[in-house]
Amino acid sequence: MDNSGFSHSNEDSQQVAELQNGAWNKLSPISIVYFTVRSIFDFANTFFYLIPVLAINFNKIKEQPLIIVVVAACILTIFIVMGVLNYWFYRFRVGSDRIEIKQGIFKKSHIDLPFARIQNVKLSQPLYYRINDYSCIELDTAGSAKKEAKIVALKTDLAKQFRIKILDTATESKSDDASSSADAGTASNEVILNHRSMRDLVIHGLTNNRIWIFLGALAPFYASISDFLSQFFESIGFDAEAYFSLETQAWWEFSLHILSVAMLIMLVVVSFSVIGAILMFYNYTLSKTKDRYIRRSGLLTKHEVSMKLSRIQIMVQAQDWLDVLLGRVNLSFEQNTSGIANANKSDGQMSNKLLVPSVTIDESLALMQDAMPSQTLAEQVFKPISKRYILRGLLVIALPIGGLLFTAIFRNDLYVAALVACSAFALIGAILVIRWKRWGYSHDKEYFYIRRGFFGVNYYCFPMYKVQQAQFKQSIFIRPYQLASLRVVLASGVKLVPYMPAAEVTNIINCILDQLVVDKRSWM
Amino acid sequence: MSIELRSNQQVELSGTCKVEDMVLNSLSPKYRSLNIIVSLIIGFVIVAIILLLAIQPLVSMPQKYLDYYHIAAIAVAFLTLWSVLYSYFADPKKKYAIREFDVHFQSGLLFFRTVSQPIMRIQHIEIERGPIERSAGLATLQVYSAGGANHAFEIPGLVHEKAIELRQFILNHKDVSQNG
Repeated sequence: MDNSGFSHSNEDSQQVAELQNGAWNKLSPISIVYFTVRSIFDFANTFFYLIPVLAINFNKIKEQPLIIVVVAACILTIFIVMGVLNYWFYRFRVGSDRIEIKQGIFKKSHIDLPFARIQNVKLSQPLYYRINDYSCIELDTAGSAKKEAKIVALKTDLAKQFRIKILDTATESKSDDASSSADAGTASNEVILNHRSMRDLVIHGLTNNRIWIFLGALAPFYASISDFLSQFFESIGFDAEAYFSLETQAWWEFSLHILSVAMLIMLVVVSFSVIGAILMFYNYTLSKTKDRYIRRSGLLTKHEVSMKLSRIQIMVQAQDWLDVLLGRVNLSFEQNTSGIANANKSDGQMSNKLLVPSVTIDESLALMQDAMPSQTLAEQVFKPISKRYILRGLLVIALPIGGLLFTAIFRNDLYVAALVACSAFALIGAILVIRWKRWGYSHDKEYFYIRRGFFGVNYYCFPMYKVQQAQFKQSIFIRPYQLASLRVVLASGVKLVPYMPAAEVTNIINCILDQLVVDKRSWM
Repeated sequence: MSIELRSNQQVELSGTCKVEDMVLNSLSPKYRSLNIIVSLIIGFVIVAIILLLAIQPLVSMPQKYLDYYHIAAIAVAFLTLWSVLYSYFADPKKKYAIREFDVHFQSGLLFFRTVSQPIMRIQHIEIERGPIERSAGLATLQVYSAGGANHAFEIPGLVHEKAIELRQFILNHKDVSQNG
């Protein structure tokens, strides 16, 4: 927390107390902007498939500029009216142990949320709240995730205090007021564990392709973009057909042209990806209070995600092939996903995952050490899985694909067909061998470690006492070889290790179950 | 709760009981016959509909239907036979075990699987009984953990009283009431 927030804290806790007087509160009028923008986004989401229609008819529309202006003004007015109405009907009430929100113009909703049910509190600050220093508070619940509980506009300092208040009540619902307010005081003593410089973000953009975010957003405009590009090329006298024609130029010239275009596209892709990374993770800090991690980042909309340390189910250290070369790691802490509505959001906004982008391996190990001190991922010697894993891949994936290719080309040319099928088989085989080589597992008394990957490599580490369910799986094809697969269900998802020695699997399951007999710690 | 005591004793007698040495209980023998009967009824009804549509004189069916309906009927009959045979051989393989701190369910003919659910991680329990299960006095015990509904632990084909007993055993378990 910055100093300004801290110095006001007394005043703010008083304000929090004032909020809790049990009367229905209205929001600050600035929330009209929020509601307006949100209804524009909702509208765009619902009707975005109409955009290409508009784009196609753009020429016709262009001829009547007045109509556009009038229509646009009308639509904007509607949105603003919606914003005002939303603001007008929004009420929230904070009790000593619960929050109630009434909202909606036509479809009214009344959310009554006890603090104890709140899993996570997320602060976000869109650009237009920056001026007056307001924030949104988003409340994540464990079960009924479809209802979104959001207090749309609170002063940022107040929001921060409020968050501490909610989380303390949520964790220590039985303790009395005095101790929880004391905790609130200590909780604001944050230590910054990690922050990411611009250079790190550029690296993150390079290694993690975030272009898909842009491509997805641009999808409706592909046709008009390509039209625009061809017109543009014509206007500058660039003949694309001649540039890519094999008849008018030597093969090396042609391949050079292809290469240069590919490089150009790569450059655009990479720069977009870097911009995406900067938008998402600008000014990234990971800080730690007594019992939780807080992530803050964002260029336009500032996000603040906090996660209780004890809620971390699994730590994932992910490296793509480029990360391997550069020695960087994406470290993420994952908490429970079941029933979280934002499962399909991109990882920057997901609140069940706390991502530390592109840290060095040493930094990552230090952070993991901090989160789970007794874990020893760095010293683990991973045991390989059975080579039959490759065989299964060859039989199940490579053989059918090779066979299909062969029959598809066979009618034209026997030799080409044989060649293509064999090379496809060999290629898939090579990939399978790499994949097999990456697979590894290991465990000590408390933790289980998995290594897996492909061109890159991912490491997973989870404490065995957090396991929700363990499964021993064995098909009749691998039973004669004393092999089996281990499937472990965690609150954050399922992890599977295939083709281990069967005795090893039962041993690990016994180990997990025996630990739960004595270790009565909660998974939360 | 009689089952609570029995189960406790078994564990204490066998000392540190390993998952692979557990004594497994079979499901109710009615479970298999019920599955077979249900498969047969469903298969028979579908085949009957296919045949009736072909023979009935009220509505004239498309020529393609009349050409191929017997293939469809044979396919359905084959699938029915398959599921009957599968139930016959696979259902006796389904077994469960209760230990002091966890419950287990084993199944699989071709794909063998043992699911182990620690009682401490159980979030809630349901007993589910469809109309067919009710008619046979059977029930399915469903146990949910924080792993989500996709990974619910399920023991089908329990005698209803047994299912209630099991549920009560889990609900009374000190791990659920104190540490859950």
